[in-house]
Amino acid sequence: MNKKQHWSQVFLYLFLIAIVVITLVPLLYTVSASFKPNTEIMQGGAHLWPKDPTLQNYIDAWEMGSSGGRGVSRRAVNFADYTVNSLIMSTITMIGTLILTSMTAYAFQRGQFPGRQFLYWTFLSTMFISAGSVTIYPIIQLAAKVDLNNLYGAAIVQVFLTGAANLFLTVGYLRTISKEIDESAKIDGCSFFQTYLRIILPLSKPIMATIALMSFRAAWNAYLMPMVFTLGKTSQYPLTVGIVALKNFGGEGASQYNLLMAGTMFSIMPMITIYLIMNKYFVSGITAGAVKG
Amino acid sequence: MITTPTPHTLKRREYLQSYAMIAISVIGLALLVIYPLGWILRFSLYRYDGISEPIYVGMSNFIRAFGANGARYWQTVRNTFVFAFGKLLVEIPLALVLAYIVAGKIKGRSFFRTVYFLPSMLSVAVMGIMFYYLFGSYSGAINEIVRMFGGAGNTRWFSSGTLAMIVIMIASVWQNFGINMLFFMTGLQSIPEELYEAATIDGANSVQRFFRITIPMLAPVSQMVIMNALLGSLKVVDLVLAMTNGAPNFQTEMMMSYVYKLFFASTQLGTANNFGYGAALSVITAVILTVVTLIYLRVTHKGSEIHD
Repeated sequence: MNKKQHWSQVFLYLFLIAIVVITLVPLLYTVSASFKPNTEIMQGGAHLWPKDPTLQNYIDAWEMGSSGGRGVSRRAVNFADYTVNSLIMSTITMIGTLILTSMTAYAFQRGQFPGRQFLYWTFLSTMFISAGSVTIYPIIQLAAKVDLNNLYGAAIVQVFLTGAANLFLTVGYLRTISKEIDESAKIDGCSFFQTYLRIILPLSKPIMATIALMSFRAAWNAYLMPMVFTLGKTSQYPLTVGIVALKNFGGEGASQYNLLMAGTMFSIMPMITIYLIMNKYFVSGITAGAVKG
Repeated sequence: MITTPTPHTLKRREYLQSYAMIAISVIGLALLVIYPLGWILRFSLYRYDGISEPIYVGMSNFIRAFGANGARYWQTVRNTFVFAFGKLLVEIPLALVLAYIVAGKIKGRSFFRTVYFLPSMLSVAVMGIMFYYLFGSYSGAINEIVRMFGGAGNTRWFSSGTLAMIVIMIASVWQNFGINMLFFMTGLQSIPEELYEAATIDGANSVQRFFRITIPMLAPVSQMVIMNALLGSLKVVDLVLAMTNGAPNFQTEMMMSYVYKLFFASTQLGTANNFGYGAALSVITAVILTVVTLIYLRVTHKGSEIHD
């Protein structure tokens, strides 16, 4: 390696490391603030290491903010509830997405029923209708009619609104499973549904793992839909909704900064942990969707 | 006793089972996608406050939207486009350059990849809050850091529309460059190695190889990435609601957050409930997004024809 190449290498690493620092610093500040007493946060400080590290913020946020400050009402900050709500919602969304996506994808990819093409393209075209969040009002009105304008309704709606992309991904995966396997199952007397249950479902484990992670993450991170569905029902707030509510309507605003940062940690730490453990599944899921989408 | 079903009944059984398996999805699609779209289209022609009977008013909601009273909405449209194009100008080149470096044989590439993609895992709303406090006027870390380097460090980021918009863009770039980098990397991996080898033999340096081989060969993937990122940015809503909530004075309000408020938080806009007007703006917003998509597809289609 000559001198010129050597320096360009150094420059390259400096650039990459600079981006690493920019990526991590906002997270590190959140982590550090969550261990600082409120007074220390209010004084400000670019120092990352807390002068007087404490776990009190976590305890207060978790136990309804009992000693979290004068302006904190007991109901307003209950991150134990919020965390449980987030878990419930994300789990329901994940399970619903898995069942629905795998069944629907199988029926579309392997079935030969009349209307198959038409229905499949109708599903896919919903991916391209750029309505986004502008249709929330009629959706919540509909949900209210069947008493589902709550956390569970939010979970169910999220199954359907992200359905098309997952469907596309799964259909693509099923295409790679040889049809000869189905044929031999049929000869052995398996019906269409039994073939799905006994043969195809076990074979589609890898794509199901990816979809499980992605749908769990999407629901865990969602804000607008669960916010609208739990409007005025503080005890049903998932973490995202609870955190933003604490910031916007927390009364004394900045006085609850420490609780807010601890609450933020409840939201981001599980995601970061899952990501670091299973990062391969996330990456493959996202890039597979990109290539086929 | 086992009866052997005829091929005909077998076929019918398969149809029935197929329909049963897609039934829930079809019902969900009808109720949660198609019905709401129909609702929006219909009520855009009505005056409706959610309580009293809806009154048919023809095109008057649309006339209002395009008249002087609609100025606020068009301001949010402008904000949204400024936000989207402003941040993509940084995000896309950054993602591309990083993908190019990290897809190479550089040491520690999986570490870099893992770190860069990390922000994409987090909630947009929660991240908005993190940045709100990072850029806080008095105790925010950014101002503190500026002070450490001898600056005044008293910038009130969220009191100025321009500065607030820049902070929103920074937060959005921070969160999304990693995922776009991953997309570009899959594109890069599909470029045959021989092309680079041949170019190297011909004496092309790495910068030349990047512009002469990588960029043109990456065109199809780039189209998808830019399209995704553009539409995603035009639909921005969680980030703004969590960070600035449109402040100051609607200068960071976006299309989607404004339409949301017309339906759910009209007191914040200082208006009475008028879901008909909200529905009309929903229709206009959906049309804007669709037109952007079509123009984009058109332009890039021409672009790829030229390269072919």
